[in-house]
Amino acid sequence: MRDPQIWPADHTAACAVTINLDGEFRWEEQYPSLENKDIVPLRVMAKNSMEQGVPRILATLNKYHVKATFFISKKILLRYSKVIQQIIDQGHEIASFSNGSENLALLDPKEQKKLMANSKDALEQKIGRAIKGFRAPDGELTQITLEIAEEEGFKYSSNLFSDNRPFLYSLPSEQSILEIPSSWALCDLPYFIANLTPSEPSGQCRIPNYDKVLNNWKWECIGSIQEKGCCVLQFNSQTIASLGRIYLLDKFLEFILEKQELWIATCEEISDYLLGG
Amino acid sequence: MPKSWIEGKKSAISLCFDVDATTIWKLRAADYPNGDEYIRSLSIGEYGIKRGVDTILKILSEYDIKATFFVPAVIMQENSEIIKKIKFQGHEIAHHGYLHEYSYGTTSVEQLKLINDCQNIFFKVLGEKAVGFRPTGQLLPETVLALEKQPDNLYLITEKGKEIPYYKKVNNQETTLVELPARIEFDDYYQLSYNFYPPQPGSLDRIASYEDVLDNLKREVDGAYQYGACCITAFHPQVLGTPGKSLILRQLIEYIQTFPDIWIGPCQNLAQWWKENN
Ligand SMILES: [Zn+2]
Repeated sequence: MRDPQIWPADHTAACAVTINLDGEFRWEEQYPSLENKDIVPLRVMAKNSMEQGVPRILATLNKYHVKATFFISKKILLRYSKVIQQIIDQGHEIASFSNGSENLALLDPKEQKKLMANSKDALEQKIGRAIKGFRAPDGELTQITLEIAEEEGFKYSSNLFSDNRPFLYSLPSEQSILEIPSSWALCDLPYFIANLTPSEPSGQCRIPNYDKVLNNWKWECIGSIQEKGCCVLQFNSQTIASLGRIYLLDKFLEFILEKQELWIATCEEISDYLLGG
Repeated sequence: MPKSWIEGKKSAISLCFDVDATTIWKLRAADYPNGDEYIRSLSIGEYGIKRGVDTILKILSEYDIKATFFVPAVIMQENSEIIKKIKFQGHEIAHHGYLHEYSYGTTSVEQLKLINDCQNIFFKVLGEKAVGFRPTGQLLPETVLALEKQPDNLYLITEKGKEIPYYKKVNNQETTLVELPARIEFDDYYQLSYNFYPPQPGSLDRIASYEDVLDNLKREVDGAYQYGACCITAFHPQVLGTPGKSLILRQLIEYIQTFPDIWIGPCQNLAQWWKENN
């Protein structure tokens, strides 16, 4: 693997914009004991975010000619096939967000393998070529999860928070998989998700000032440049694409494009560059 | 409040960093199904050792500041090189439990065994025992009295909320152990720690705005300066050591250094000075 602090074309650091699409399956998985009617507000928001929100995300990316990595679950692919086609047509990277929103760490290895393999197959069938990236849904994962990802032919994982730049994660099988790490501070969903019943977040927390959240992302980005790192943003359509928040994506893209030091790339481009593939 | 602090300064600040690393995440996940195998939450702690400590050391060295690092003994065992590096750069290493356990046992015999085992690890790795102790669990009165008798022990940080050092009291009697006054307002965990599952904080309240956190910290420094108090922080390499949050630390230090008469240094020096003058 190449030195993960030397970036192409004299760039000092790298930045990847990733979009997580889990829609209403996130809530169905999280609240299995609730009837569908009890999670109606979350379902409506999730569905709207796929139908109205994703096109807004695409238009914003297009405005700045930025290519992003979309982590898509198999269930989302099947239910929102048309929207996913728009993402593909615009030339963004498609990667796996597993099957639904299962907490993989709670499943036995066989089941994990089945879900991850199915999701990879379904996405590859849809786009007609191999996909390289794997991100587990928001929950936990284990070394076995990453071992399965490597066995299934994924080239990189983007799941952990243990570094400020990509690294090779050593697996118990003595193989390794490229990890493109991120951090919670760079995810939009924890800042913005809100619902009263069921309570999201559980503490019914207030929604923070949008511009100050944007500033947190900017600070992390500035810090990444200083550390010659790789800054990996995670936006979820359920939160970033609302009418009032889509401008955060717009402003953030504007900000990173002004930073000449940054190589703005998809996770696949980062993985190909570092692994030489 | 004292009329003046070390070197005649008007206020005193010890920057303290808890190198908790993976310990807190292991404890956190232990009650969850298959929790021993989780790697995502654990990776937040790994950042502290892999990058956070170095980032903080770099900043401290740029501003020529000596600080105190509290280290669970298991982290010292597993990462002795980086802990030695901290010490080699002139910072103080202090005691912070073995596994960051929240209970040291129900008898003082048990508690002292755990504490002494940690001190032996300190001695083995660093060639000396810690003089300072920020316990992660409650100490029994007899434990404190026994620690007082051991010549290595100088100070404790067992309480939160006071403004100047004082002699630790046991059964209403002062001991010779200095208690340094930590305050929640100087703990980055309260503002910035986060994980979805297992949830941290429990309410899943938002990660605070970095600029707001910095601003609040500055106001706390202002207050300590105005009233001549001292500040003991509880910062964490896995929190303030990330690329963006390290800018908070950097700007806080720059702000403190605009005051000509705030002393800044390790807890050990502060406690020793206080003991000699009180
Ligand atoms: Zn701690």
